[in-house]
Amino acid sequence: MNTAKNMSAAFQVAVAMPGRVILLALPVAAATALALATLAIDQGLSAKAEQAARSFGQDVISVRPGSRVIAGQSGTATSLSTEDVEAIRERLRGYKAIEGTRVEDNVPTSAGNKSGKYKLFGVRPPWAELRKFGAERGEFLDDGDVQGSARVCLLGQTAARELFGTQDPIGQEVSINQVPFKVKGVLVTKGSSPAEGDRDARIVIPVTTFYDRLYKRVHLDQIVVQARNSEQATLTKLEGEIESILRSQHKLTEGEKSDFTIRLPSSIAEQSRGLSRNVFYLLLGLAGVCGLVAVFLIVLVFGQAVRSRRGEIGIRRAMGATPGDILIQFWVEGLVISIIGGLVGVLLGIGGAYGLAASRGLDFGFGPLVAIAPLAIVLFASLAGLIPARSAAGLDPAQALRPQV
Amino acid sequence: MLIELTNIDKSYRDRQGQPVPVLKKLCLQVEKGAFVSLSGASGCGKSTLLNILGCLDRLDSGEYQFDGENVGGWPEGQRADLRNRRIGFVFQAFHLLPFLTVEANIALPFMYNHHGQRPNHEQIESLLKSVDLEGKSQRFPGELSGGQMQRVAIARALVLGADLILADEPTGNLDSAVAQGVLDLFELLVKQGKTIVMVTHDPAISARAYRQIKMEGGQIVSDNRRESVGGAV
Repeated sequence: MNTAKNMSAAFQVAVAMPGRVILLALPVAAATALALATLAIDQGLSAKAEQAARSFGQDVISVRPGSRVIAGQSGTATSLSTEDVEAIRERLRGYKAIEGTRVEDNVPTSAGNKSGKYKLFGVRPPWAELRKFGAERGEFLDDGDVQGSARVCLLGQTAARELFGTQDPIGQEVSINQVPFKVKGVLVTKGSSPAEGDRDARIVIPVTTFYDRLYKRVHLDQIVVQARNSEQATLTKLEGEIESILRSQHKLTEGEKSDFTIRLPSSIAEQSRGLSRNVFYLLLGLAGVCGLVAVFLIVLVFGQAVRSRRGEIGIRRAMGATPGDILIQFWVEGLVISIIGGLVGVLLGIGGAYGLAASRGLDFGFGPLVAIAPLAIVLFASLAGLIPARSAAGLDPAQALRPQV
Repeated sequence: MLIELTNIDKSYRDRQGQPVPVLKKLCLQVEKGAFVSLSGASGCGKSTLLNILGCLDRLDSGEYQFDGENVGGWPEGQRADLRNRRIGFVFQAFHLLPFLTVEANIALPFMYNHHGQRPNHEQIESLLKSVDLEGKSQRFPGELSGGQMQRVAIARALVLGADLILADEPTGNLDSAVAQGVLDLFELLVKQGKTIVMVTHDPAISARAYRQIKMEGGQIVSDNRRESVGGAV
């Protein structure tokens, strides 16, 4: 048996029948591309989600009003109040800090002849530490600002850039919903996330100023609770306790749906993925189905090829080929197709992941897991080629050479 | 003696799994340089005999000596090597690979040869010249006539210097003028020392061989020799 010669025989056949190679390589390519793109996007999203959770604070539990939270929007539910914050502060055990904030979306803001709409946060000084959202330049709010309902603010990076360009905004005046504020500082860069949008398009003012000078709103838009550590067990325990405190505060009876939503860093991470787990599994399943179709087609088409190439098998045997030679030749034919399909699939997968990431604003990444899926598909497809190859090798040469009726 | 078959038995199983004898205690001796035709009605066992001679099929019992060696019981690897180096096959359906050029078809036996080097283009051209197909090395089988395809098949059978050519109805798909040309070529090869065993239905074709064997019911019923042009074989 001469493996190199048998491989060359297989390549001769593959080159001579490009149509068949394309037909069989296509499902392998599709399966590989789909698996690779899905995994690459997922890997990118997971990294981004982790980053989002980290950036939000891995020890921070968020409570929002309403039973359903839409990512990036503050909502209109009014179920949270400062009394809720006090109740949690009094009754909750094992937390590090708690803050209630007021939030207003799309607040018209201008500076000179430039203007924009930004998300306005009314907060107290501990919020900066709790949300890891302090001042990069200038100073954050202090207790005096809160007590005096001072008209001071901190601009997010996007707001600072859009309103002041390359100018230093600190000490300058901005008009927030037609009320003049002095810029005290510029917030740290946070970037954007599917869950919270552009986190740099924000303006932070004292919570009292928010209420006294802009929006006479009693309710809170968010309560954030910082745990003593970021362990899942601690967070889950706090979540249960917060839920029970708020349900009793809101006098909800058993079986009644909560009028607030508690989110742990893990669910914030999940929301930040931008592609739900279900869609991920669906795409991966589709890749699996494509892989199965590829395997099925290879077995079917090669099986048919073995029948239609009986004469060829017979004459090769007559000329000195052993069953092992025939096995290798037919298997390598399948292998060539699998590898071609795999390579095309890898290129399509990378292109697809890149295109999808660019069009949907998603991230993608290539780790070892991303490489394993295409390799597994190519391996399965090439192993599938062994089935018809074995039947070709087992053909009786005398029978194979007999004229077909 | 190139071939010596002694008391060969061969049977196949029918659909019910019952053995159907095809060759019965058959004995045959073929000298080197012989030109033998095997004829007989369909199912008389001539193709089975040819397959056994070509080591494509195994005998149930008896002994097969090829050039003094008992090849009947050899393992498949050795039998494949024997087919490759010493036996050439020519079939009614030519069995050329349509996707390979004439040159690649002729060189095909080298794919399974562990001893020699693949012949170069000049050697193939020279072989093609000897079968009257000069200049056709880069053609594909589909571009050739039936007679030309059979000549390519003969060249392929000869490329490794086979001693024995086994031809199963080699002229079955050819018109009579072309068939005579193939037989002329066979006669020439015999003169060069090759041994040819040819299965044919056609008495006129059979008459061209120097030795005509008739089979019936898995046995040889007549074995006639005639004077060849170059001497008695």
